[in-house]
Amino acid sequence: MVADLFDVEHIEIDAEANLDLVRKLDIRSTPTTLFLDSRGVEVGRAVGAPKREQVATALAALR
Amino acid sequence: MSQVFSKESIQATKSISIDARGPRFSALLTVLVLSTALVTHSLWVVIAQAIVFAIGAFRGPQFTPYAAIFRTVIRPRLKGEVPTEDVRPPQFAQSVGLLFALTAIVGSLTSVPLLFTIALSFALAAAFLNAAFNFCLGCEIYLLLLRLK
Repeated sequence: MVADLFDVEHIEIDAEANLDLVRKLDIRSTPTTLFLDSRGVEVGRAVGAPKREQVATALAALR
Repeated sequence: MSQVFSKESIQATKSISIDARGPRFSALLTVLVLSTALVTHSLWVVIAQAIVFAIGAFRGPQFTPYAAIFRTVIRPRLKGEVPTEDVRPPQFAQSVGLLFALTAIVGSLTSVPLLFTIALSFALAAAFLNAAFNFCLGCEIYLLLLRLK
């Protein structure tokens, strides 16, 4: 769905290849979705596969 | 919540993704098989389940007979978006199941029925959580264990 939004980028990160990051950000299970603003600051996260509405709400809050 | 990310330090995904609904269906069959084993105290039923766990643990959960049933019978009947997940956590969970099944087999072969019952109960409880609530205990442990490295 992010593909439809020109100002949002979706990046997949392999947790196992980035264990330092996993510890630093306290990721406990996969998948975890982090919502970042334009400065790269985390503004929210969804643990487990995020529902479509969850993504929409989180992105709307960023605008 | 003030972590600033830089893309350069991040590695991209390179793992295999599977249909996330598959493991849950497999867990349902596992619950049926393990509860049958528990009630009948049948060693052979546990051995059969151990073989399924072994395939799931060594080849991957998408290669078990349960997954084959999911693909051919269940999946064509499911509608909506296909949720995917990384194969590694559920694969690890299969190896945890295998460990409990092997423990139960050892308990049976050495005539320690309590070990048989306890090991099977743990495996059954984990499979039940997965089937009923889509909560995969082994998967949850997986990343936490990796973090300790």
